[in-house]
Amino acid sequence: MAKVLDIKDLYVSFDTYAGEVQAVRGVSYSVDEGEVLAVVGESGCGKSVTAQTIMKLNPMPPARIKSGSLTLGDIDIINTPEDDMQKIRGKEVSMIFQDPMTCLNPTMKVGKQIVEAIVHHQRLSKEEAHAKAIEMLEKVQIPNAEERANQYPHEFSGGMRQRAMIAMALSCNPKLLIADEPTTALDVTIQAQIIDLLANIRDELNTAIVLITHDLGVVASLADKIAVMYAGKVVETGSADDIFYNASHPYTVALLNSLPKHDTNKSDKLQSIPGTPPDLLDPPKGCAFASRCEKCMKICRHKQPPVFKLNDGHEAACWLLHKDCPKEGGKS
Amino acid sequence: MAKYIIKRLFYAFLTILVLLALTFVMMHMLPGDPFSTGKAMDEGTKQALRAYYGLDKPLLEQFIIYVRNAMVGDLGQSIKYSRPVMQIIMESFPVSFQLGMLSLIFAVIAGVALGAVAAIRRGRAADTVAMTLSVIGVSIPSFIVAALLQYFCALKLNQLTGTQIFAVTGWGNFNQMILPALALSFSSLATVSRLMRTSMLDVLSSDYIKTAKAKGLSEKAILWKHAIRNAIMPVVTVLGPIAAAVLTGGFVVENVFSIPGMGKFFVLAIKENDYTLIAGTTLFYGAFLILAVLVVDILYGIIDPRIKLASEKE
Repeated sequence: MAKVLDIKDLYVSFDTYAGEVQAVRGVSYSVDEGEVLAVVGESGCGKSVTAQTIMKLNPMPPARIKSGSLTLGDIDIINTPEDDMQKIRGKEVSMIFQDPMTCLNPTMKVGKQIVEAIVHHQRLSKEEAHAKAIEMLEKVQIPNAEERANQYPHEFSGGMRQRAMIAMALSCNPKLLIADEPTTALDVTIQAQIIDLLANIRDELNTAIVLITHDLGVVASLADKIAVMYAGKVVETGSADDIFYNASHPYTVALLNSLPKHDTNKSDKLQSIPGTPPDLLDPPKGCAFASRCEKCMKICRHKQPPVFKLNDGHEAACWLLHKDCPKEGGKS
Repeated sequence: MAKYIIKRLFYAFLTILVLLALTFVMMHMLPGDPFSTGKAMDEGTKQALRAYYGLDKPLLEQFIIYVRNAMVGDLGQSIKYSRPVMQIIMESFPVSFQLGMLSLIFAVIAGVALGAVAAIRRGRAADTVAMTLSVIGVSIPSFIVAALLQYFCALKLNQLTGTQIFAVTGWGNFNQMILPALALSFSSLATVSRLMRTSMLDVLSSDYIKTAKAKGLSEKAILWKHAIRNAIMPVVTVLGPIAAAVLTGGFVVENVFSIPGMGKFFVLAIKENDYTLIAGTTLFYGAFLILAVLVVDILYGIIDPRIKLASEKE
């Protein structure tokens, strides 16, 4: 299958007064047509920065792409000038954001905001674009779409706004949809609806989706592939099964252990990962997770682990997977 | 909507009544009366004059008579000028209104532009220049700005070029209006530009601007279609108070440029204890400003769809 997105060894830094914050330190992942890739990790691990770099939405400066390659279909994003980016954003790749309450312009009718995206990328008259906008609103299951298109965002509920955002994002049939924590700000019941909607879109339109989240529950139902990020690096990638049943990186294991289980007693404490992520102003020389890792070895503190291939599509960056590592220190 | 406006007009009427009552009490508390200034006259003549203007009646009765007359548009005779107060207002107000509106329009357009540019070029030269200008604008009183403009832009420039670009004094032609309007608008312009800058910075960092960018819109389209309209809201809220400041502050500038506006009557009436003129001009300014605030409130509801005027909910 054709690769829609291919990121190789991407480095992104922010130049701040305090110094260079190395937010993304060599990230690689790829997404095929009609595939859902979930990018998982805690706050500040660089998952959003990576995603926004795909669309060059990070303000530059302070952000700066240091090295690496990023191709969208056959477009080399890193070397595309801003003028051409305006033709790519919204057409080849779209994005929906975390908080639907603040993502729509409060003084513009919802329909008009969608029409704006359509007219910008397609040669359609105002009427045709309006009809298309209503069609998109219907596609994301907004009832009375015609009437709703004439309303302002404040007349929509949170879930409806996120649907409207999705309608807007899909209005120009992008090959790739980036969903940056699309359910974090929503009620649990609404979350499920949005996840179902995204699954439908993938099945019907064959749109590839990069789903950024820190909610593994969301991931389980939707993702074909998962990339686990920590401190600006991808520490493990694999199919959903690989990650959930055969996690190989201690961080992935710790992340899964901190999920509440069906059989967790009320009296049991929820598991957490002790410590904090490293300061990306001055990232550690060795493995970034070493200081929080239960199985940390001497080498972990001195040398960054290479990526070990476990099976086709399943990779992890951890010294425990080295062939010389004593096996009792291995999988938990 | 109509119900809302009627309700507001009713409240406006009450406000004006209170304003008038306070003015009445305060001006009668001032030492002396209209006939104790100027030429000396004997007690008998004073008594006769007081009786003629109805000033010998109890205060409450005077007030009631005044309100009753004012309702049909009769604001009485000015004691000093011996002309109907209404006539004085109708002659001088249009001039003050023109001056006020001109400077208000200038303050809003230039202030919004300056603030927006400062926000877009935040931290760069344009921002520094705009904000320095606004600090100067807030700190220098309008009569100094007026005098400086008059000296350099009218007097000196005319001498230098030999042609009269801006008139030194007077009112009527456009070249007589520019300098006074500029002088009067200076401090409002500064307020508006600071407000606009803050609000624009706020809007530019908001999520929906990111959404607009993610749609592929150009920087220009984002600014004009998404940012400015949202950023202008706080400016609209201060339009009422600014209109008040510009209108009542006009006196000083009118004085410097010898403009036959209403400011002169408004201020000098107090000095002269001209009771009817004080009450008349206060009533007129009060009514005008209350109306201005009402218009601003209605405008607000039109610009921001989230604000529904009270009666529309019912």
